Amino acid sequence: MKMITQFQAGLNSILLEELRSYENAKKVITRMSIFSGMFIELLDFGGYGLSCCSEFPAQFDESCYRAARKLVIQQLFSNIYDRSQKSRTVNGQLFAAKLIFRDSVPVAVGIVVCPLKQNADDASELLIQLGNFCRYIYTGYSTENPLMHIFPMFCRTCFLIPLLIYRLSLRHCCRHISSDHHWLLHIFR
Amino acid sequence: MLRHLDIDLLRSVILNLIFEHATVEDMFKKVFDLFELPLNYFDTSFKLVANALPCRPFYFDAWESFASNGYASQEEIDNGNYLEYQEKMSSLGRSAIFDTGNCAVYHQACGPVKLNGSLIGYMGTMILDADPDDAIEFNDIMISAIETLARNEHESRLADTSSMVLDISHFIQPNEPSPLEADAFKTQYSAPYVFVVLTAYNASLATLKYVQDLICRSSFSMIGTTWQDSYLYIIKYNCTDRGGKELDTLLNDVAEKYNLYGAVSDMFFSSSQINAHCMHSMEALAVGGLRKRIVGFADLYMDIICMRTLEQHEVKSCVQPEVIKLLSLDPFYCETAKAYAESGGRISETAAKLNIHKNTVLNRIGKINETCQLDLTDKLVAMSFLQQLMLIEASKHLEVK
Repeated sequence: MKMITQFQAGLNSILLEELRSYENAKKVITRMSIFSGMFIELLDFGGYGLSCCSEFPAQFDESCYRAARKLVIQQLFSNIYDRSQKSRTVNGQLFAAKLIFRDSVPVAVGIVVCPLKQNADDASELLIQLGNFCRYIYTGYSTENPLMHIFPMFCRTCFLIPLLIYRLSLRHCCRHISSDHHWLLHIFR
Repeated sequence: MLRHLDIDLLRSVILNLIFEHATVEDMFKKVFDLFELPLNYFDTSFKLVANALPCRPFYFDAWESFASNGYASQEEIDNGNYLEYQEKMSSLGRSAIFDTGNCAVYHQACGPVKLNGSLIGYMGTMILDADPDDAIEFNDIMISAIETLARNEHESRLADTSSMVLDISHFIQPNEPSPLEADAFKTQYSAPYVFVVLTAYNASLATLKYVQDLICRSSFSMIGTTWQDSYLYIIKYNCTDRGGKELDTLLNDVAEKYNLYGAVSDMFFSSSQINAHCMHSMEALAVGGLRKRIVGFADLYMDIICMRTLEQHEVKSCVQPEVIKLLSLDPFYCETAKAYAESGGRISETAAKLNIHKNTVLNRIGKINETCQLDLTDKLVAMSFLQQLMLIEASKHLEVK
């Protein structure tokens, strides 16, 4: 049986506690961030309003973070069938992100930022549990969510529908939709 | 040598099962495979929800009975003092070791399972060779997992508007239900209704939960919920027999057996009146709860008014000087005045009631009028006199309390 690290055990304990009295994603993310010492952001475009992030670390430049986030999302969406974690180093920080799927449909992006010296395995573990948490909450919501019907129909060929829904639901302004799939970056600006 | 339980492993396994939305039964199976500790989880009515036993028949009779029948029988519950154990669990609020009485040979870590703060069941882990402290933590983690799974199930049910109304605590709130909610309630539970409140003065939640199931199971037209861990609220719907004895007999039997007190509201016809009738029952319970096991709001209506009056005014300020004077006379004058007023001024009825001659009644009424200037032949004066007597009696009752 796989050894459970101290980090995994602590994270499991927090998640068990938080799921028992779940209120909102922000509370869970904040507790995970305090425990791990990592910055965590969840970008939910599945229509469940889970998007949130932990407190931005003082030592990290926000514009630098946004630029790195843009690049990593671009990397993630370059092949949505590749479910692996993408990582890069930015200003001495490890920047890791992963697509979160529900029923083979990408519904969210989890991003974790931590100092390089911190164990990269912990960041990976956190991203895995972030994905599990999202799927758990999504399943709690009924599959009757109309977005979940629309998304699979269109996303595999064109992301237009989820983008429009994202824009409508968050009143997010997007300048233009380009012909290639890179327009997705606009929604995360 | 006591066996240490790998609590981190348990947490990891449980969390994965929660993420998979596993059932409690699946969770028990997986946990038993890893830790080999027998598990038993039953609801507040002692119906088995899930278990994991290494062999059948299981060596601990109580758990074997759950496994073979799916529940504990009333005889087992009463003779085995089950409610005492459950009361202890519920009051502790977390897992503890049970190693006396029924559990003297088979030590267990047991604790209460709650949903949104309300008791829904009990979870036990047979300790066997495990470290008792580990077993307590183990059982608490199992409870936490059951509560998370139960919460999901509950929320899915709430999302379904047709079953939302099953939770009557929603209708007990002071806010009036929306027309949609009222319609849904009426569809599921037809009028007329009667509201019942039961309580144990020693606040035994486990008993109230058990009684809730007992009452609701024995009658098809009753729904209930506990309130603030101290009261059991029951709504009897389609209540065509309020005038009959069936409900009263059932309530009195249960109250006598489990040392409870209760009150019954008047009949009503709309879910928007639930809150008001809940208040009526609580008032009746507060005023008459110690006199009889089960009291009726209608029977205590005047007492309640008296009590509320006395809360705001001193008894002296509510009683006329004429009545005070009458009370200072020989007690048989007051007795006669009361019987005369209660019989609506009928001399022969008063005489029969007091077992005296009609002329004696006439003489006493005349004497009261002459000495105290209290003309009881005037119906309004007689009514007012009776009300003042009630206030005086109520004030004595309050003093006793």
